[in-house]
Amino acid sequence: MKFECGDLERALAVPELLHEAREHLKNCPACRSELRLWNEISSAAGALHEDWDSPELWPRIKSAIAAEPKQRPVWWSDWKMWALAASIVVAAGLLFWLNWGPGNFGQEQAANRDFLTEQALRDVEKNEAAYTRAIDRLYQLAEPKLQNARSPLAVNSREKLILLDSAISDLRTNVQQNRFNASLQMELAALYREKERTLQELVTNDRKN
Amino acid sequence: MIGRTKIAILLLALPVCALAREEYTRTFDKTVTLQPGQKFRLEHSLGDIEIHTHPSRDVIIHTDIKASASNANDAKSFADKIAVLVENSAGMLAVRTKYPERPSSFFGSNNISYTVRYSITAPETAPVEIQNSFGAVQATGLKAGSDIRTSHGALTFRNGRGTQRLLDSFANIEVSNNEGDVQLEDSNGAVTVSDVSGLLNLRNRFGAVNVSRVGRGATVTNSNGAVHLTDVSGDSLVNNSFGEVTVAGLQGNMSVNNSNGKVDANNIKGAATLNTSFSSVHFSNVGGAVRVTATNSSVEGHNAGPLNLDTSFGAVNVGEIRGTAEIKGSNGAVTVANISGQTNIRNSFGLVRAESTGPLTVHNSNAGVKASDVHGDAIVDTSFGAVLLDGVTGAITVGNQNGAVEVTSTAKGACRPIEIHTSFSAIRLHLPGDASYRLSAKTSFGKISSALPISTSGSLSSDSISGTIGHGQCELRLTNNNGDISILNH
Repeated sequence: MKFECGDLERALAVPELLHEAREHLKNCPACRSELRLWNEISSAAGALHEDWDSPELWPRIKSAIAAEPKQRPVWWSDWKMWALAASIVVAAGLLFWLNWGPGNFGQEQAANRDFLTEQALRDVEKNEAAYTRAIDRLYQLAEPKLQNARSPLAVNSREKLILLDSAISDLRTNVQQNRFNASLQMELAALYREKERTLQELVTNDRKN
Repeated sequence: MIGRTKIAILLLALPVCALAREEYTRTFDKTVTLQPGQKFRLEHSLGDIEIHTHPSRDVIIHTDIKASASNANDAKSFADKIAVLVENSAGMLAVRTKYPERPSSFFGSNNISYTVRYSITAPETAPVEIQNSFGAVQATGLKAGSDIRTSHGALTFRNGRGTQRLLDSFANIEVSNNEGDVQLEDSNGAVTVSDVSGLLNLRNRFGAVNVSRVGRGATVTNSNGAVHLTDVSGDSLVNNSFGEVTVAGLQGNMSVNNSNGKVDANNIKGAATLNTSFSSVHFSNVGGAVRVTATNSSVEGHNAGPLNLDTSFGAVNVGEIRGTAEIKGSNGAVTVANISGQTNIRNSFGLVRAESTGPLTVHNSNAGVKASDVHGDAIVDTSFGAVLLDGVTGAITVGNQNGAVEVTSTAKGACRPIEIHTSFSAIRLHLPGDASYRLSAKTSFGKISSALPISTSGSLSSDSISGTIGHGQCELRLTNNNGDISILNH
């Protein structure tokens, strides 16, 4: 290997190169000058070394940091919102399942295609009230996003919700006149489900963004 | 004691009686012969309709009228009041369901529910109009055109002939096998159409659309739902948003206008115009020209006719283009391969790679350009990136700033001028041994070297040479600032 000035820094870190470096220094004033500077820096750095006044200083800083009141990270509020949205979605889903799930409404409808029994209607109306309350809570979560809808997706969701609310209102008017009609009740359930899904998507997308 | 027990039993039985409901069903049947030129119309709500056809002129009306109430008398009384009105006029046989007025009373008719279901057999040659709500419609074998509208109930149409107009909302529409055109509109429901021999015009919102086997072209307008179109003859157009669009096996020209959804077009016999935003575009096996306009989208495609592509913030990767390629991108890499015609690429902030192209023009900035096997002239300019050209058969013009240039010319025979300029980096030019150029090379803060013999004339210095290589047949200008110039033999 032909030792060049550029190899000097590497030679200081690799002892195997020191012999070649020394040979090179004999005939290279520039490298000798650079080496002298290195040596001066090393000795100056050694003189600057100073012990801490108090060896307990760092442990004290550590404990002071530990005692600081912990600020909740920014994601905490989002996390709470997530949990709330998730719990509402789960509750709404459960209510939907209780009301119109396969073990309940589906069997009833299978036994009697056209009309509900009194008991089935009572269950449906009770659960429907709870289900709509859950959807309303989901709506409250999504409302700020809907009110300030700027993204095309949010504008679309708002439009869809208006459409669904109008259809639900129309259908409810018919259901009130024909409460035992199984087909109407099923259709109403489907619209509630669609509204829940739309709100859920909106809340989820909001959190993702 | 016995009396008390009886009372207790009666009291216990009372809620059970209160919960019990009675149903009553009656039917309505009527047959009317339809006169030539008469159409059949049915206006209904709150129940399903099933209509099919036969060769006879008779319209056979069968209706199941059902009521449910807390006692049999109320159920019967209400069912009896539901009327099926049949009106036969010169141009039309009209059937209408009339429900009794419902005074709202908690203890009265509010406790009654009802539904009416129709089963109609109509002449197959009679035009049909159906208007329903809160009920499904199933139509089979209508051979003289129809206008069917419903809401909150599925609409199914099978084995028809003529022009069909089908409308629904909050429910699915399914159409299969119609000899003729179909016009269809839905909202909040999925739409499936197959085997339509004529034109299809379809509008939907908030629902998926699946179309297959349409004879004379399809126009689909949708939003918030995916659109899949397969095996369509004739020209087709899809407008969509917030949903992917997939088209395949089209015999005519195809146009897709999408936003916020990806576009995938394969096996198109004619030309394809594909537009979208915020999602990707993919195309393959397109017989005609392809035009892609996209924003914030990556584009990938191969095996197509002449290409015109404009995108941003996404990579471009295209190949096997028969004809010219005009590509505009930004903030994404552009890769092209096997383009038979003139290839023009404009890009920024993204590497441009071109392999096996016709004559090539690249305007790039802030990124490199790498091209090989260019059949024709190459004109390249960029900045802050290297330019590597390998195997250019034609004239070469490279303008670069702050980037190296390495060029290999494979020009043979006729004069193919070369002009290269860069700064703050090296120029390396590879020429064949029999190269024939009039050289003018100039640099500052760099050296000029040549592996080929140069016959010089005039002044000679290490940073400026004028002379000839070979017979000096063609112009060769190399200019650099702050970089070397090397002429190499390959």
